[in-house]
Amino acid sequence: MFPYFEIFGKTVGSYAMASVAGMAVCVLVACRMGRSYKIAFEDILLKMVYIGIGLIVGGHALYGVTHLPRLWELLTHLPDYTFKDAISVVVTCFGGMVFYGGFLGGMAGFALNVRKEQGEQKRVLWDIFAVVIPLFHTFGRIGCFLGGCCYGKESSWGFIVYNNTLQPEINGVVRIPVQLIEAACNFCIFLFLFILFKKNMQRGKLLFYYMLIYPVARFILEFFRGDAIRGFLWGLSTSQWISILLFLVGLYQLLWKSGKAQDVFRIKKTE
Amino acid sequence: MENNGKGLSIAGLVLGIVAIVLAWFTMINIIALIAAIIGLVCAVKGKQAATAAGAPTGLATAGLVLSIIGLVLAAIGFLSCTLCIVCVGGTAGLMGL
Repeated sequence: MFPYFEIFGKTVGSYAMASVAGMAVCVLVACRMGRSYKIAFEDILLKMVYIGIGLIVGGHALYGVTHLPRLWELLTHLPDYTFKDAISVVVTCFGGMVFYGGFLGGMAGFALNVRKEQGEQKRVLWDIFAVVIPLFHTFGRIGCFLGGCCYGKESSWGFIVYNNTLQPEINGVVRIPVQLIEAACNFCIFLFLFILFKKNMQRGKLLFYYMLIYPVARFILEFFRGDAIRGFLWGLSTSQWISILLFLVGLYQLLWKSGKAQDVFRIKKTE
Repeated sequence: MENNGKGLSIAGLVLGIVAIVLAWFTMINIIALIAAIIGLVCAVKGKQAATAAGAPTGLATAGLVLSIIGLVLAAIGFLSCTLCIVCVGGTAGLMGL
């Protein structure tokens, strides 16, 4: 739609602006949430930096995984490539970002930062992390919509992309605004988790709730995506496979660790 | 030797300035991003040390603010490149390259 605009003669990506705005809002929301638990602004900022590093590394790494065939082709035919071409392929293969990679990387970075925290404080911090992730993703998807990536399939209703100079072949076609639908889903998840946090409910389990809800939405929405650069395996996209995995992990953590599943099995055993 | 976080605060301040300057150059955004992140960590640690020692935190706060500005500018530049690469990659993918 509007992939780039100019500020003071400098070209700026609208996706980048949306992402940075998302980060800023997340820091403010996290500070607001942490204030009641006496978590300092600097602490939140430091944690966000750890999440950011993990997000960038994880997002790029998983993007590289979705381009494994091209990387393999490069490795097996390395002598045929000039140094410049080889670098160009590596940059193209690792240059983009995948949300799930960013999520897992961010989670790893956050886990590294909070490993020394204990008890209630640790649970609160993980809950804050769970609440801000869908909020950031909302901004990210709006950025995708503005930037013209992660677009939907051709449809009889939706939006016409008309000014994408980076991918002119997608212009002039009515497409499902799957990015905006996902942004709305993410915002609803954020509100739900935020209310749970404010009401002090399900302390320490909000991340698992997120892992139960978001993957379902993502799994369905992936069927309406029209971009061809995602990796596919046995008819499902990489993100759908990761969605299944995350859903199962979330379900296991919520049911098994909380003892509910054990109770069910115990009842069956005694019967 | 007393640890009032002055060294860390100065490091944060310098790295924040370096990040702001480098963030304006398209191809070296990643260096600006790394400088801003290290600057931010130094400034936060410096501020914590200064607060604990009862020393003034002005230098650390200045480093913190500059590092945040550098981080925002570097992130905008870095993520602009990311979108560009995604789109070029997508086009190449569609063309079977």
